[in-house]
Amino acid sequence: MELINYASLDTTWLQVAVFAAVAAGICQCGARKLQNIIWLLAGQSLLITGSALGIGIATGSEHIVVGAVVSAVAKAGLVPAALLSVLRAVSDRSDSKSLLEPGQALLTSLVLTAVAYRSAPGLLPGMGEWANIALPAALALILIGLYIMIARHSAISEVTGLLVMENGIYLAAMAATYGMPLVVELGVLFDALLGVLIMALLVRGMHHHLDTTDTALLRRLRG
Amino acid sequence: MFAAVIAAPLITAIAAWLAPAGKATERINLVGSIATAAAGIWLAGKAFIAPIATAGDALFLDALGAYLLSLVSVLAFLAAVYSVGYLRHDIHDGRIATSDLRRYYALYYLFWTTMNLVCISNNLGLLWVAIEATTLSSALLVNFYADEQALEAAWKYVILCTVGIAFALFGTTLMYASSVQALGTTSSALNWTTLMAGASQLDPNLVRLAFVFCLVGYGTKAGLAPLHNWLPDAHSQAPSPISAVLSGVLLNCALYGVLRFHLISSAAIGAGFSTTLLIVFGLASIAIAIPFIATGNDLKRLLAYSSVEHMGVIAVGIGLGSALAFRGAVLHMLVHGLAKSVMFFAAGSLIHFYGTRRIGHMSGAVQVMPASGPMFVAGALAITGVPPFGTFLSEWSIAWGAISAGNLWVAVALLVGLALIFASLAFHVLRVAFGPARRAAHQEATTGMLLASLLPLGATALLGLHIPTGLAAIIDQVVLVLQGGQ
Repeated sequence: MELINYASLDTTWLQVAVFAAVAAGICQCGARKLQNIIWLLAGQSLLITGSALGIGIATGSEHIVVGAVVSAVAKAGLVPAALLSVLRAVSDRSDSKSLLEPGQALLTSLVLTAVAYRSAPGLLPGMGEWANIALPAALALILIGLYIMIARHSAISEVTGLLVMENGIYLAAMAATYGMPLVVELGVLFDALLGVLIMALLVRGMHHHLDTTDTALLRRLRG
Repeated sequence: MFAAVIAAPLITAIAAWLAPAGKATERINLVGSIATAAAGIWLAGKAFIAPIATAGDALFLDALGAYLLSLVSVLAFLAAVYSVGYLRHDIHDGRIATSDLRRYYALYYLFWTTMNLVCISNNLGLLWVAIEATTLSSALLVNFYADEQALEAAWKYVILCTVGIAFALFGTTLMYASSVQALGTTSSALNWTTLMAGASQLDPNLVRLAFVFCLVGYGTKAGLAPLHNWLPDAHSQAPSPISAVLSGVLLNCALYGVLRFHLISSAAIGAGFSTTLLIVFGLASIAIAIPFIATGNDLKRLLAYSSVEHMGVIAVGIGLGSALAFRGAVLHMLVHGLAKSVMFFAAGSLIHFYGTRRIGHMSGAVQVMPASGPMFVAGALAITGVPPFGTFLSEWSIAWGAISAGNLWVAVALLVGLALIFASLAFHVLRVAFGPARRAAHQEATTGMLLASLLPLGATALLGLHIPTGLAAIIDQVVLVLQGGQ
């Protein structure tokens, strides 16, 4: 059994990093340019995996360090690179059509964040200071990601929404248990990478067949 | 031992990708399907004698997993055999090129690999990885024809299932948190067997929450209402043999994820919580399928909605929780898989012949396709639970299980739903089968395709008349696992 020294954790900078990650999610809701949305996602992934790395180093836990480094390379490096390359291949530059105007979307994401911060403490009572910081942020990211997926019409922003949710779940796992076992974490990461690749393939197909990546136009199958 | 069920399909996938497309790919498919199915049945056979485990218990096979592995092996084998003739026809029609065979078979065996991994995962994190991998490997098969509609179906499939299953990952995280609190951060803390053994020490609130998230997550992938929207698209746009595997096997794999969490939840906080949810979602799935089956006009969408209904039936059976209902639900996993394979195989041949999926444009199938036509009618009787088919026996066991447990309203809701679906499906099938034949030409599927349909049809009929002693013993073992004993 691996012993983690919870007490030695200095949480001030973790707090800053986690807040910044949520802020990046909120900005994604307000952003219109797909390129900016992808860069915000990359920054958010870097902040979250960076926090995990910090915890790993502070607690001297090897498996957290390894998991965090691999995650950082994949989530903040490979995934955004793949999305940017898809963006170059398709003609859409901005996600102009969505359920709400950017201002309204920004407001909605703020409300969702407030809901998350209100409801999180009841979820995992008595888990320590780090959990109190990370869990509300994780919930906020999951809700914001879900909201992006529902409200946005561009296929690329839908994928980024999914990845924001994924970031939230990763953070929740860090909050609750300092991460899943390494083999599981790597497996989840592998699936996420593969998922992005397949979605990228489908987005290119969409562009090829429909000359757009607006998923609202995918409505031939009904009934 | 476990390596064989992963290595056999994986090697076949690689070989199919590397070999020159054509006869060689078909031969690889034949050898690979036999080897993979044999490996699965062999391993399952061992697990039926006593549960087996390896890799620090991360991989594990008990009667429940072995039962699922047997289903995967048999039904995926049949679909592999059917695929040969089906794809030849597609090539002949110019729908695909010969070179596409490599892509098809390589993806098919990757898909099979991931399903086998689902059956043998004891670690719940690994189980999640495997179930998500089934989505990813099958998404490209749904998009096999790569036209506009296939693309739409594949997109909805991959996006909705991935979002859904993200909730299951969150649920798994919560389960891990409850486990770590009680059992410490050992590497086995996420193993199903460890969680079952220490269930009484788990935090009840976390377990309850974990079950809800996993039910939503894996339930989405199992096509349980109201998160089933992606299913009719994906199952209807995929090539017919893939539709058969998606409906007959993959839905069971997803439901298996729900079952494992249901068992932990039952052991930790009592069965009442999870069984109620299973019954509610199950009945909702049956109810939601009725209007779509009644008004549907696309043959494969009809069958896809029927799968939503049947997953509902199984969920209700599990939720009822009596030995009789369990037996019905376990049998239903098998007979639904068999009957649905027959239906998708026959539908695939019909669609090839008529060149359309629209029910209004098909008629006189029995006349123009003397083998596939009658098989389609028989399959429809089987899928709607008409005696003497095994589906009648399994559905009746579940209904009787509800009545004998005093859940009269569940039994009534179930039977009314099944009757309505029978009536609507019969209406469509009669039109397709016995209407006036608009074309004089006769055409029939290849012998291999017919055999692949005839075998499961015969098995479904026989199982309605007599359950062999061996199968009865296996079902009893699975029921024992479902009752919380191992």
